[in-house]
Amino acid sequence: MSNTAQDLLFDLTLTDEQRMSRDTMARFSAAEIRTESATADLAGAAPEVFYQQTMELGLALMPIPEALGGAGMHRSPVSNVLNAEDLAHGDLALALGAISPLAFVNTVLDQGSDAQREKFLPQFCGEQFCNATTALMEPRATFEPTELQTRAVRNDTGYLLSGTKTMVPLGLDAELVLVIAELEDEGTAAFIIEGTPDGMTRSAESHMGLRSLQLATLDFQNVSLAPDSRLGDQLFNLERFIDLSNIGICALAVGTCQAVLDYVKDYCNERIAFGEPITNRQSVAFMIADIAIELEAMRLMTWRAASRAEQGLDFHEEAYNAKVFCAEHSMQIGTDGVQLLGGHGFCCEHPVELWYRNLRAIAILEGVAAV
Amino acid sequence: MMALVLNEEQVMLKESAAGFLADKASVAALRELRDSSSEQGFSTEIWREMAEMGWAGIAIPEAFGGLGYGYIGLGLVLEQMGRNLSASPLQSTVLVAATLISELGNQAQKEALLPAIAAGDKLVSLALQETAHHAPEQTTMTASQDGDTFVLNGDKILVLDANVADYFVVIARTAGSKGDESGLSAFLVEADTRGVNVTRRSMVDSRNVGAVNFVDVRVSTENLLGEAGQAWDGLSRTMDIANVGLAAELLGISTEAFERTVEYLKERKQFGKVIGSFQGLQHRASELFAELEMARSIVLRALHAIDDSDEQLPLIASAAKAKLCEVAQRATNEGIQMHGGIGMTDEHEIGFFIKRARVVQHTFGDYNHHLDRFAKLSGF
Repeated sequence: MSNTAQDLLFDLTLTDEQRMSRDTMARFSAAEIRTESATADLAGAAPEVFYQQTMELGLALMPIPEALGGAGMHRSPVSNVLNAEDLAHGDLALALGAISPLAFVNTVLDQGSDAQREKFLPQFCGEQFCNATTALMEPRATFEPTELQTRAVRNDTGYLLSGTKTMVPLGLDAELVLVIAELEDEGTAAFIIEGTPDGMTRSAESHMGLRSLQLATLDFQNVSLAPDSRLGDQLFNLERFIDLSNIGICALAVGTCQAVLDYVKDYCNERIAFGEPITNRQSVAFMIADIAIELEAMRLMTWRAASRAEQGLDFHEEAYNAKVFCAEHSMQIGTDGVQLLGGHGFCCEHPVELWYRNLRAIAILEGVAAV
Repeated sequence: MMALVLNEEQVMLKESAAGFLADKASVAALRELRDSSSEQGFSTEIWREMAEMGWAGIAIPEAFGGLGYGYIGLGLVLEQMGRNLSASPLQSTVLVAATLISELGNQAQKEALLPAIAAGDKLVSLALQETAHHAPEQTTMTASQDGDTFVLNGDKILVLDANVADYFVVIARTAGSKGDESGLSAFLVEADTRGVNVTRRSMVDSRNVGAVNFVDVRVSTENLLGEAGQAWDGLSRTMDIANVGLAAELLGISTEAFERTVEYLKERKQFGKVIGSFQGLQHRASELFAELEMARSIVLRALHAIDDSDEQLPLIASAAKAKLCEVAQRATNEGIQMHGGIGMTDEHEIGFFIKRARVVQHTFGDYNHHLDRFAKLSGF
């Protein structure tokens, strides 16, 4: 990647637009996401109107050029991080569902051909929510994204795709799926799947967390794809895609951990034991202080990676550092959140058990939520 | 099941050792030895008194002038020595060398040395280690037979009490090559034999350790302990016993460091209260207390395993040493940390405990060595 900006310290000043947008997101998150979180988790699906409602936020619309019907805003990983963070403050699974189409849009913007942009991006600029997602992970131990077993081979009519993808957000219903695969003898390539072509099957997965996200297994058996379904005409830039995904996943972790911190602070200040608030106990106060410190570090690492990505600087190392750090600490914060509520932490009346289950996914997720 | 408690006699031994050592061989005494740059490294007079009380012969059979009281007794004394950081040749001569001679020696050799050790007249030390890591099978020092003598060549390090020893039990290779368990032999070498050079090394615990070089050292074939090339089993059992003894010492060090720290928490005031009233410190102290209870149990279990000739001894010894390395590391670290700034000063005694603990932890295999050995012996 060329360095188009001077490699200075990163700037954390948010623009006026970003500040205004944060208010909107926070309001939406509190009113439409947090309130639905527990019900959606129990139902194993988002409320029927939910994704349509997210259309008012214009998440996917923003970076799409005006000529294609979008808002034509500057492509901004930082703004996307802020959005993801604020949405995940309401619920991690619903937030990830809401930004999954954006991952598709961003990747098409980054690596698609003009024809593909013209064909697909206007679909995100209409009135209706366009259900789209990305599919990278594969169901095996020690999954390694650079050694994909989903394979595409060239044939007379285009490509034949075979393999299995797992943990695909919105995978049951997505109309557009960007599948990352190994193109035989050439390297990594991405393919846009429209609808459910012959040879493709979708099946629901059941996980301890992210239950409302409807994570799915997508299976491909010699699925025939047209030549123009391959994203761009170059090999897929997997590293950039994964780095941007990691930043998005980190932002989701930060938002949910912030929710944990806000919740335990209030709870522990109000909860009386032995005649005084339990925050008067050092073992409680120190645990909350640790959460606050680690969360701030998670946030700053994530913002730094996003800021460098936005400036066109190299951000591979920063994104990776953030992911490792967020994976470890978001699990700890999830556990501590449950712990701090004592017996109440185990009750589903309080949201910390749900956040704990969802935060367990941070370390596993890969190739989703590209900002 | 054995009872993991002490009987009346053992309690008496423990209490008399505690009283004697606190009086005569305390941390203050160690400080004096260190500050006076004592070449001897311990008080001969007090060692004589210890021997008179029978400590030097505590684990040596009665037939060879000892008390025949077994290793449980020796472990109790070592624990009290850990509490007081008492400097003496008890580890080098009694715990290690006398054990190895009992394991490998013939009747004549035992008769020649064990009574002298039990009486406190002779100091003997094992010369085993050659590199930074404890790995007896990696021994490269050679002993080659020449008529009725063996010629020894090689360098040993970390030999306990090397500068004051009358004899060394030297482990050298008469056959096989580096890495082989077989082919190792043990030789009794008088310290003033021609070709033996001893250099004292300065250690953080201010105790006696030295490097010993052997250049064409000739000893009679009568000085061979046990069969040529067959020292491994006896050496291995001696190392198990030695590590259990060191674990007992670490238990004493850890317990004393912990108790002193808890006393400090009850005295030291900050923010208008004694610091022991803060939950952050209370929980840390409680966790350590629980660890020490487990440590005490495993040490006693391991001491029983020696005296009962339990075939599980290798496994239990490594478990005990590894556990005590872990607990001692934590107890001494927490000791310094909870004492705050004063814990960092030489003026305060708490720092002496961390120094001795580190040396003991690394003697005859550290935490990782024993975890690894435990895993291998357990087949995983």
